[in-house]
Amino acid sequence: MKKNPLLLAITILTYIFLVGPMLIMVGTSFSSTAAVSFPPTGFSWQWYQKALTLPSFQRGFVTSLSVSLIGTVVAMLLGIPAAYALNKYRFKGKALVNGFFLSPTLVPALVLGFALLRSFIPRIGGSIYIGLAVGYTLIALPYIIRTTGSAMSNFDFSIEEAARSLGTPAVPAFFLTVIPNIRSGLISAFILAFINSFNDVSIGVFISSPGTMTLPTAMQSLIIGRLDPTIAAASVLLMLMTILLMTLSEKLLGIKLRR
Amino acid sequence: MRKRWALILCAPGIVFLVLCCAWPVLRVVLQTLYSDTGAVSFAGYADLFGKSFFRNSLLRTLRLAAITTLVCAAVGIPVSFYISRMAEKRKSLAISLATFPLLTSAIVRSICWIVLLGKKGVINNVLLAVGLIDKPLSILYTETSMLIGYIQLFMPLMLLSLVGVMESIDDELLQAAQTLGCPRILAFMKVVVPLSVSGLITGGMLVFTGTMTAYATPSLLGGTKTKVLSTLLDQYANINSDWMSASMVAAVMIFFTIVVNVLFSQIAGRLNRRQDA
Repeated sequence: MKKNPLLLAITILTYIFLVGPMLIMVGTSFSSTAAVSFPPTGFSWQWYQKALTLPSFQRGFVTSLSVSLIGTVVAMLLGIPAAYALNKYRFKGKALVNGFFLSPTLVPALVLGFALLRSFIPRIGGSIYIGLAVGYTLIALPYIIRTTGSAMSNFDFSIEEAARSLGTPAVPAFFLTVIPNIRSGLISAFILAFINSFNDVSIGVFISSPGTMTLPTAMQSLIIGRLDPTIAAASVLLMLMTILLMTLSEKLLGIKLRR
Repeated sequence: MRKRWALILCAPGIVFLVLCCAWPVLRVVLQTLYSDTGAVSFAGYADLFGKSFFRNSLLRTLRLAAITTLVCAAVGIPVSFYISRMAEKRKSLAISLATFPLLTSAIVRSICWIVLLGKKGVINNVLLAVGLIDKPLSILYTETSMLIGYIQLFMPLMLLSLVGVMESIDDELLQAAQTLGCPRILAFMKVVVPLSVSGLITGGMLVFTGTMTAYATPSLLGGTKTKVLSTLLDQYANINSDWMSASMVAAVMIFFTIVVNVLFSQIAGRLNRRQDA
């Protein structure tokens, strides 16, 4: 079974199908002509220069970066205490509360954006920026609850009890015992939630204005109708960012990003 | 005392979810159930389901989700099994290679296929140059290109769900089946596949609901004749400014997401009970 050539062939073909198109796009991004062609004709950095200097991409990058960071941080501030309570205490209605925290996963991100646009953003004075940050908080929250919850389920709460019984107040005890023990779970949850928000296309479909749009939305509005290597170059830069985050977290923090 | 602490710790999240998720979503859904006079009515939905354009989009959404899930499962089973039997280092590389596309924006992965499948794309250029065709094939903006995009987008979710489960299947079970004269393929079908069902269900649910609600892929790789629910919602809201129809499509999307979630977890629950018995 191990060395079955048919299995090997299917596996290789599947990986070519998964990764091959991305490699081809890397090739087209270096094209010296405006036509998307492969194998590339000539070599130039001009599309990278264009992608990096395009104002809508620059603004989109800053917007995406900041709303994803805000969304992830807020989701952690709301989610970690809740995950702690859900893991440590037994109380009536616990299953219901847990279910409610996971409920945003039942609403497709596109619909979430639509609902925020219709019923939330008008109430907060029409701020697209806050709308985006709220949207990404909602996407990250169930994920944070689930991942930090599973990290805490492996934590022995008697360690925290020991610190408490020796006179450490509740909050310092939490930061001195619980947090260090679930540290790597927290970091990988943070990075993954951030990457997911940064990459997300759906929320920005409805929550966007000419001045404030996420990078994926800015890229999509440029593609409509035509395709030049600028988009390919921007895509390659985004792939590089993913590779960088994956290697950094593995080499520096020893955390493998897994979903 | 404990109850009070639990409440205090959960309260900020609950308040946030009520104000920013439950209430806005419920409001959009409830609005679709009221007629102009304020009475509860399903007339809007009757109208919507009366349009063949909408019915076709809904059926296309479900059909594409089903095909994508089946293809991902059919390819995912052998590939995941192969990965689960790799040596540690290679396995780690294979899993990273499957994770990488997941951490890349859906928009980037859809753009790859425009580059490949377009009229002036890589595949047409190669086929024209070799002389296999005289005029470019129209693959892009069809259901085929959407399917290709969906499968590439969601295959990693199936692989990662399956590899985890298959790693824990003991090789000796397979050897036992073969020693007793069971042919290799049959042994695989009778031993590995049933033991991986939990991974198949997790992966299947992720792939099905993912395909059903994806936006970037159908909007970039689909055309005006191949609308699915997500692109229809976009069209009603952003192009036609028909908020009532848009809200109804949104409600239909939530409805089917919940139905699929319930169905898959029912199957999972039933299988668990059978395994326990």
